[in-house]
Amino acid sequence: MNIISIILIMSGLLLLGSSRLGVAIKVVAIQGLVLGILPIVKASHELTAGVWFLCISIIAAKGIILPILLNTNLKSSGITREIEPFISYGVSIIAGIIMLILAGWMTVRLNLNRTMTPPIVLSAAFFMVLSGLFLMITRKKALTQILGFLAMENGVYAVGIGLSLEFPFMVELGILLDVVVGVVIMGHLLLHMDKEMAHTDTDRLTELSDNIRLSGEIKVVSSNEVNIGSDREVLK
Amino acid sequence: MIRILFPTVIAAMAGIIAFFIRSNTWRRALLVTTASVHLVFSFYLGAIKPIKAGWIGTDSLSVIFLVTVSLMFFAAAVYSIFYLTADRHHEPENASRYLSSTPESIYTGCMLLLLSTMTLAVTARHFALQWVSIEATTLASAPLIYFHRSSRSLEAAWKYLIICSVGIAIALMGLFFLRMTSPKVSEFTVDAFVAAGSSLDKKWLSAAFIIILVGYGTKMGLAPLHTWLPDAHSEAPAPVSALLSGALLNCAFLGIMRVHQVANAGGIGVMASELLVMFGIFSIGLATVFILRQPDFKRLLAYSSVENMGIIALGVGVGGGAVFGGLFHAVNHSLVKVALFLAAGNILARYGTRESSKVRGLASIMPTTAFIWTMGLIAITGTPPFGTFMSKFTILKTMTAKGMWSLTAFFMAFLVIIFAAMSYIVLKMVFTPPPPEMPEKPERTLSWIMPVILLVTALAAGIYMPEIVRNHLEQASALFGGGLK
Repeated sequence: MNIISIILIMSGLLLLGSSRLGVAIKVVAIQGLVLGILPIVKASHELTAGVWFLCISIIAAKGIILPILLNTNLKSSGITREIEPFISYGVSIIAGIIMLILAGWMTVRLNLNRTMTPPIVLSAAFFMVLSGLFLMITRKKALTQILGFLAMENGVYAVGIGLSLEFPFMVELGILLDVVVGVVIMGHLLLHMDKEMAHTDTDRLTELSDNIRLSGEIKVVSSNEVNIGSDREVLK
Repeated sequence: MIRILFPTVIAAMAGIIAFFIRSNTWRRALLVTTASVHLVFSFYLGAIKPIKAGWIGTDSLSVIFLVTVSLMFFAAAVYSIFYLTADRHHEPENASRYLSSTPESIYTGCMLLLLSTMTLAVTARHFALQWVSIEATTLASAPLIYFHRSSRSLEAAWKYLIICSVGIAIALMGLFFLRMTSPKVSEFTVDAFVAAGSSLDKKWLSAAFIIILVGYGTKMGLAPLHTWLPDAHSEAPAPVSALLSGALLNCAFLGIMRVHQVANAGGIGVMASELLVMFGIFSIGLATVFILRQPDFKRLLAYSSVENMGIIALGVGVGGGAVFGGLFHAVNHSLVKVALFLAAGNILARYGTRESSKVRGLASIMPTTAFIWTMGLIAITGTPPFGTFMSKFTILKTMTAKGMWSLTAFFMAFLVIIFAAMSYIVLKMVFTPPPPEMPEKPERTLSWIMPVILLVTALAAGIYMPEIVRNHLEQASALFGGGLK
């Protein structure tokens, strides 16, 4: 249990410090695998078929399928590095340590008396949520945003485990399914972004704003006509 | 149980089938048929006694939202027929950018799946099940926003998906906290938790309410969490914008209301109400700023949605008779806003621009749409005798009765500014000489029939409220200790 929590914390720090998107995908995959194991390790009661099925689904979805999918996205977009994040990697890691302290403080503040899982799991979970959000805020590439979302979602799931809560089997599966479908759609949008705009920098997504004026609109129209034309041909 | 699941299941099945139907005619028929069956069934569920079957069920609150969702979907479905055929024929040349699109099967399929997930979201009584369905609505609607494949709609869909997914993931954490308030209660349902009442742990409950309010509030479009909303609403095709605004935002609000119910029962109702009031008035104020001099008429409607969500939150937060007003306003807002968004779709298809400064002479070029547009304006700004006036008035009356003078003053001021700003923009679009090069073209019945019906309903709601509607609104308000009686 403690080892798993430490792996989760390390993975969060690694995500903050790595510029290679390929590595980041692997780290998130490891998080998924570890999360899948958690319910089995944690189980205070007998392992039902439902728990096994859920664990296997989590491992398959978060540890294998989604990483493979994101990897194909990565390859087809041909971008391998996060260049010039808003906050540099060194500072990110320091921020990560601050977030870790914050997560520990939150766990202490919650003052749990009945929980069956060690508090470090909850600290790790809060840290994952915070670091996932931090990644989404400070990085530019769409793929990193997806990874940040996954890390955060993993964290939220781990919060549930840290508080030793269980939802009914069907609901747990529903939550997992939502995440998987969500990431699949995000990956799909990412591909379109790469194809239509020739970049996946989310900070350059600035076409839509309240100040948009004539000039902006016209420029957009001309650059879009081509894309729509080609898109339609593909569809036919 | 089966009766409540029926509308969800039938919409989901129709949605899946729609992906595989080749013929456009059959697919469109399926869309409208499912919408009608759903509508009839929702009215039936509204007429019979509430059914509670564990994880799902109906009460007055869910019935109000269910019927609203169903009616809005029906309107959007009928309008979609017009929209999709207009899409085929590429009406005016300069509109081609807005009327080129993804395959229709994906559109119809996602629409129906959206209906199914929204239905589940309003009928769910298990908190986590509700969460699953609210998140699923995001997933079903994201491809719809990206219907017109352009870099703009792509940006909108991306922001929508990312921001709402993060918000809803945060709400899940809030649900874990909510579960912690009472580990002994076996079922994680509204009924069980409300029944547990004062035995709930207040610390956990306060934390849970705040986190869930922020999480679902993102999806509901409460300022300052609304940033995705104007983009998504302005880029989505008209029927989808209408549904997002008229049905989807309500579903997210229902998520908040359910937790509010528990908060009331658990003894932190005052704090919860204050938070709702704060978010509410802030949303109204922020929307006012952006509505002033808004150049894009679809964004104008989107910010008006932020405003109205604020009004609804404010109403429920103020409590007492205002809860009745707030819930009634949710229904009225849906009726009017859907009509307005559909009319906006007509204007966009005809003029090929979303800049209101380029839309001139609406009254002579598209008389029916101009009528809807003007009437919609009058309704949305809360002018009598529309239902929106009644609901806003009820909220204001309760606020003054409770002596919230400064809040009332701000609220009134915002409403007046919004009224002036929107009238200026809308009337300038309608009553000006038309551009000379616009050719004559008749409006198709399908393009205006549903908005007119919705507006007439909104008008009727302001004049006469049937007993059954009043009962449902009263009972729903009573869940929050409110109501007119």
